Amino acid sequence: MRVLMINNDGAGFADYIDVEVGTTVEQLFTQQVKSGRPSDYLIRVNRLPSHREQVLQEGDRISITARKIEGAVGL
Amino acid sequence: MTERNRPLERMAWQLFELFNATPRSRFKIELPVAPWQECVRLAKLIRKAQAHDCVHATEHLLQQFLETQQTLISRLTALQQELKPSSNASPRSTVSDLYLDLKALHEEFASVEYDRHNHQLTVTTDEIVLDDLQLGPFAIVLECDQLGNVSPFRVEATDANPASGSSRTTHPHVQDDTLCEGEGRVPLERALRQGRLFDFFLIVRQILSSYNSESAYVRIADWHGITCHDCGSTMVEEDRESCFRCETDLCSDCSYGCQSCSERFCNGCTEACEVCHEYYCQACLQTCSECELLYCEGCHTDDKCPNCVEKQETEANFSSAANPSVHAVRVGEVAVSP
Repeated sequence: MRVLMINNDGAGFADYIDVEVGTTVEQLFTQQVKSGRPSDYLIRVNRLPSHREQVLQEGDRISITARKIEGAVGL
Repeated sequence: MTERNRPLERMAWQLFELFNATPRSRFKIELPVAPWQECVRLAKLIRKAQAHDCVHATEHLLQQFLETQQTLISRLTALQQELKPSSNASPRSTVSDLYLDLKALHEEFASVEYDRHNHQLTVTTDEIVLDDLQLGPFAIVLECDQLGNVSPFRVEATDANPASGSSRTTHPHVQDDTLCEGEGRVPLERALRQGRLFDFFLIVRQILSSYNSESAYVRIADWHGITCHDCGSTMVEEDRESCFRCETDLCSDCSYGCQSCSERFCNGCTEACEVCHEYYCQACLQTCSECELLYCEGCHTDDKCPNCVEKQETEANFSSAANPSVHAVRVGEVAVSP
């Protein structure tokens, strides 16, 4: 099934991807974010806070945003 | 059945038109010149620190160089992705997406307002607190008709608690209402380009909720003023000087310029030449091989201090006098050198 995956980490990524039926939020996180713990990220499904075991549905919009995004001085 | 929100629908339509008024063909290429120049500057400083054997400063500069290099790489990668043919382009928001974004913003943030005449979407955060420093709420103002420009938004403190030495700095990473996005720059650009409003405001809020002491306009520790390491007085950011060797903060009275390399140092990292009594950094002083006296380059003769050189010459003269080639005995003449 297809879901919209948005990774707001690093260089950013937003596109439709195919995932297996029954994939959970945590499984998708592990696939998409190579390093880092889910607790360090805001993981939203259809813009709403989610829990790790939540099973994804066809057409879901999943966004992953780091809780800490370090600002800098004017570069 | 979900109740429709007519004002939000109208807002979504207006935003959709504004977002689509900035097509990819009008995308302005902004090369990452600033991080490149910073890399060049840091590389120069690293070479200088290495030449002076300043290990601590070198390590610190290398870390800064790596972070700046990463920023440069991320910006170039993002630019490369944006310039790829449109078939590879990421999906752009529809009216429905924008409507859902606006609805989610209302639920997530304290306030969401749209000024349709000035095309400004303003989202206000809750109070931002960093390491117990209360900075108040921030209004994130997005100029929806400026989406093709770099950083078409500003961040205004609505109940500001600015740094004591800089009223322009309302947050460690906000100066003159401009947020320095750091790691968030690329995802912010992508979110705006794809019309992902909810993600955009969420990323800005997370940057405002984070603190990077290594790259702040004013560090939290210095928010109420900076303490001079040597005399303990408080100063403002503009007056801060830093020891080139140990990097401690210094006021102008406690910062000494090395007479040789011209860098600034703290009292502990400078010594006086024991011959001319001028102050130099430790790297610019030498130790006499005879008496271990510290002396500067200007007072340098071979590997001995002027005192030892003079002493050596005197001894040589004395030795010559004790063993002359002509003995002036009983002739009333002085000794003659060979």
